[in-house]
Amino acid sequence: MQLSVKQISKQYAEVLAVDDLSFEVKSGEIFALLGPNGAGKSSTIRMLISLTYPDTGVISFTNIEGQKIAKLVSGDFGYLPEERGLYQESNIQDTLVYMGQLKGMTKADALEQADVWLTSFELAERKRDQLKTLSKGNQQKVQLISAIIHRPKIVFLDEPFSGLDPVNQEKVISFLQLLRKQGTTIILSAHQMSLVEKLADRFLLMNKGKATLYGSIKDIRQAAQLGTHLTVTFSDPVSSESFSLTEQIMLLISIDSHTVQFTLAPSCHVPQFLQSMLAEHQIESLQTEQPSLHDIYINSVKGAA
Amino acid sequence: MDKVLLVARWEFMRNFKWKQELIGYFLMLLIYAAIFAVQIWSQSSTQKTVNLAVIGQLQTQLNSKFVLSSLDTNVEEQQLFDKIAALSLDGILKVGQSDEFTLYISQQSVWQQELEQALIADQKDILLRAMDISPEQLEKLQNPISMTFVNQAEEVVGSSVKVLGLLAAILSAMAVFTSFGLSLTSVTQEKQHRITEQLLTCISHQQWVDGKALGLCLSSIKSLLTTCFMMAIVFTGIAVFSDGGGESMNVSATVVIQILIFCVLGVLFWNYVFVGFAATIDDPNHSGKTGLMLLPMLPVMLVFIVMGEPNGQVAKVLSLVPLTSISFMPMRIASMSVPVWQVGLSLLFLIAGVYYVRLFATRVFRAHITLFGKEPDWADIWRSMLKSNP
Repeated sequence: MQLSVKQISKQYAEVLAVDDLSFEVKSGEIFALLGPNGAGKSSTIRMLISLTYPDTGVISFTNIEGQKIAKLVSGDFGYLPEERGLYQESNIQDTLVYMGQLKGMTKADALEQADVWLTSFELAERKRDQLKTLSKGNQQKVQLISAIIHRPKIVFLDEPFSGLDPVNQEKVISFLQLLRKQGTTIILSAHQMSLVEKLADRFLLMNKGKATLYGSIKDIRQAAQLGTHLTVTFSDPVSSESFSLTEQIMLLISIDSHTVQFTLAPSCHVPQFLQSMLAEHQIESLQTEQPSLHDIYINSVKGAA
Repeated sequence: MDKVLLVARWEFMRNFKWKQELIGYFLMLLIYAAIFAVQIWSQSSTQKTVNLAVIGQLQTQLNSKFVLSSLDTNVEEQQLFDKIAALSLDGILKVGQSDEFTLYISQQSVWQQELEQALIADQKDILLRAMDISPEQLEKLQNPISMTFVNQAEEVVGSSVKVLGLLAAILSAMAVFTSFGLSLTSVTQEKQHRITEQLLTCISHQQWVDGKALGLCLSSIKSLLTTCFMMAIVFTGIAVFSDGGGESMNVSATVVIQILIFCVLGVLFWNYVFVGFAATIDDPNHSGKTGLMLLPMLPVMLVFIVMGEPNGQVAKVLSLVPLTSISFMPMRIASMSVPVWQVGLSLLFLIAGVYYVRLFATRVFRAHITLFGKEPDWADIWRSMLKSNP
């Protein structure tokens, strides 16, 4: 299921939560919405699932637009809200079956799927327990199951990693990768840049309701204009003072007596730079490193501030 | 419709914890049984005879319960209490001048009031006879006129059914208050936990509101019916154990069905109000909107004022208004023969009321259930009621 967002805006009282936002999500990809708190990610997701409607602009899912979305394709949506919570007093299996039935499944099918997912998340033995008896991480797993139990075509996950320990974060990543293999389109918002970077196919960086960067990691790196990190180990002892900042060298850091890290300007042609360096120094080893999503994110937010 | 019923069933079952309910009912029956047993025990252990010593001349004949003996008139007051213990008396009655009586007792008991009543009755009798009044004249004096009420309405519904009117008004009010508690807790909890947001990705606002109102209505009606059932058990128990002295209530099925219809529709009406209203509240513990709680009290309070005149103008008008008909029409149906056109019109207005309150509740719900932070004021709620599009 393909999603197209064209110039949507949303205002709450005096706050412009989303400002002229446009993007597209391709069928079967993992798309990440990134941005600081208050950037407009949750507001955007809430409009995408028709919980609220944009003041201006158009949202369409494979040619279905506006308020028809809620009526026509709502059964194809799965949604994990940022604030977690299900029926605390009800037992886990009943809750999942209820959610499944509301999403159009038969009771038998919902029961079967609940068992499959609870087993895969190692919660099968707790299925008759009340939700409130589970740990926060396990409650989150149940919530995640409730969002996808009906095998939706498109899933919206608002901060799926928050509150999870590293082991459970990895489990959720595997889970999302499995969903993608099955052809599910996933739209998620998150703050854990390292996790998102290895998971998502494309990204939308938002700040103050606006899109700041958009595309694949390659597109974003290009657009972000952040330099490449080049770590060089020399045969002879050197220090950062041995070099000076130029148009090509944006930053110099001495790592040890033989190693210096250069942050090169985006315009810098790395092979040419290395050739000129080899003319003056003997190099033992070198390592290039592209700017991480984390660097791009921080830079993007700082630059906009 | 399937999803509405699914939500309604979930809501009903969530509030129906059969183990706790059975334990609750069992405890309630146990309490009633204990009260009843203590009452019977108390009656059976009441003193059968009273040994009473009299100082002075008693003009009247007391009933056989009181076994009288005379006591020396010269006994000092200080010694009287010693005499009670020494002679195993229950009390000493001192007859003074001008019909003044003094009773000396070592402990308080029920027979002392009985003695006072008996003395008063006998003294009245003595005084009337002293005036040379014949027994017929005395009877006439005590009951100067005889009045018989022949009420066509009572002949139709049965006079013992009057109590049913009050009972129906109180029970339906109870169901409305139960609904208020349930809907406020249920909707605000789901709002706080963002459960509503998840539900709204798979069902419409209308389906959710309908299912919620229906499920909570069923929960309230269930509470009402189980309360009626418990009351019936208790009253039957009392009637059986009190030598069949209880008055039987001959209620026609038509009256009960009419009352039930108004009750169910009225509770459904209020449930829609509460569900819509609860969507505007973030936290019920800190909301300033609890004043709405007073609104459903209005018909109950008003029904008490006009109960004496079920066919008066006020009762007639208020039994037609959907806000108040839940209490007024059952009261009128139980008290008199209400013209069919009035019952029909009231029902029609109530159905229309349910339709419009459903419409407005859904609009308010849709506008506010996904908003957090600043609660809307009454003007915001009013505006959202009038807004047909999201």
